[in-house]
Amino acid sequence: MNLLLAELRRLTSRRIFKIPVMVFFGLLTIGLILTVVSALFVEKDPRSLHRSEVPDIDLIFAPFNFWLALLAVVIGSSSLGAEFGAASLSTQLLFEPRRIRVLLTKAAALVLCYAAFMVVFLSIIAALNISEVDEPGGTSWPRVIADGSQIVGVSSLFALIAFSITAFTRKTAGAVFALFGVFLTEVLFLARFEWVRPRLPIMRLISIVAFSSGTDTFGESVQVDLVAAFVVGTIWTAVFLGAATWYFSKAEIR
Amino acid sequence: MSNVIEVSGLKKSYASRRGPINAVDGLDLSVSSGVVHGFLGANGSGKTTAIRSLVGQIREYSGDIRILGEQMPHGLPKVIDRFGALVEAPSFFPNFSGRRNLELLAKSRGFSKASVVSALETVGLTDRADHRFGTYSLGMKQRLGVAAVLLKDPELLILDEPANGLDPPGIIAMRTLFRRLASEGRTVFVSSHMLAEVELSCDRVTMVAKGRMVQSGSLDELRSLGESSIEVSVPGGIQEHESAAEVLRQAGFGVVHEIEGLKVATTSDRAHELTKLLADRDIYVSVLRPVIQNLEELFIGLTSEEAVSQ
Repeated sequence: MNLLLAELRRLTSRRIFKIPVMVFFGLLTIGLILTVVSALFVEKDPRSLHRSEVPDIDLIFAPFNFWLALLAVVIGSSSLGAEFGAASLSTQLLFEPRRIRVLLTKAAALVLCYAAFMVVFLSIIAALNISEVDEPGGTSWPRVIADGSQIVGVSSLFALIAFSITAFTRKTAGAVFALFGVFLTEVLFLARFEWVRPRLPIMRLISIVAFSSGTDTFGESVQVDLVAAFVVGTIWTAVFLGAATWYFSKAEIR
Repeated sequence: MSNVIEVSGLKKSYASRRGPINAVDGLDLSVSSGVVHGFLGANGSGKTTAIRSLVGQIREYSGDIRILGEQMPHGLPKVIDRFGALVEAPSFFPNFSGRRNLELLAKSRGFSKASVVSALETVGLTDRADHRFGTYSLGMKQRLGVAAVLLKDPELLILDEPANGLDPPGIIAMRTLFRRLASEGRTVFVSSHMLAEVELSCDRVTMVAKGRMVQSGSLDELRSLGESSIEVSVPGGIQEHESAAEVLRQAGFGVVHEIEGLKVATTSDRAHELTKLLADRDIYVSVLRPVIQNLEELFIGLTSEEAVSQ
């Protein structure tokens, strides 16, 4: 528990976490101010809005979710990459030599911090959008929660995969480029083959996180089995994390 | 005295395009408790690789390592709170203050904040404790590294080149700290390539070259190894010295004239023979003292290419 608390404190004190939080919430604040200002000058009769005008749930998160996935990759890889870069891991291992415990605790701290940030961020986005209409709540909130959880869950998997790759590459850039390499290979090449496309793990995950209604990157509607995709994503994450843990337990750490 | 560090047949090699490089090649090492033990070797002699193997940073090696009685690396968790180590340059988060870096380490093991304050005071970093680690000078970083070691209140300290980057007052303070820790019954195992520093601060020394131990013992024992001649002076001038030299040469000793007198190639355990030989010819010795190589000369002799390859 001490180790987890120390890791949470270490992670939340770092620039890699502080800066995105500040940027995202800064943008939110600006958005909020603009909304208030526009509301002051544009009178709108709430009764003129009908349920059909309640913002589509996809439109609420759509502008953000791809970037959130990207952010997950960057935060996931840099959370470990920076430690390799500063060589602070070697110092830490002189205090806690159980390497598997150290790595898994770091992974847990990453997911906790990232998920907490996401939940707060998405809640604010949803609240801002839904409060614009006359009939808040209703049937929208359960979908907001479901979609929000979906984005938080999948992007956390992305963060963990990036984190795991960094255990091998030891550099943030290495992990980010590796993931983008896989992503581009799948999107630009493999996804051209109809029968391959639905089976591509990254495509499935991207489809979930980036297009909550199940529309893939080519703008075509695809049926995404959420449960199956989560299972596949979780298995992939477990494989990456398992391999990273095995490697980390043996590797020479400087 | 029990041994707190025992290493036998430690080997670690690295692959390279030109074949494997033996960084450590069958190193044997014993460190007794309650002393300051120097680990002396030139750059690239395998000191840091050996230390990194000792503290678990390198896990794949052959040979046997025991620290505080526990076999490494599996026994590391059992003894990790009983020893502290500083390996190569101290590594902390550059954007955190020195204090924050230490607090995070202390928190991970459940140590109190008081231990952080105490460690910072001991190394004289209290004034700069709240500044970013990245702004520290090399010497200050080194002191923070030592403070991290002291957090655990360890019975064994393993320090790799701790005097690197320290100014003269810093080196003296570090030396004083080592002596104080040893007087408290702790063991300080300190690697260095600074011979003078080892000579001033250590009780025992292990010399390494090419990944192997070439000599180990107390400073006096090592100095006695370097004893190669005896300086002899007799009353009078050149004539008297020439007479004495002749007597000694006839007895089979190698003799060289020097400004102060004669230099006789022998060791101090044969000093009584010299005095008797000369006295029998009515030549009385006024000065008789062993000529001892300093640690530097001895080290260079022992770690020379020819000596190591023998």
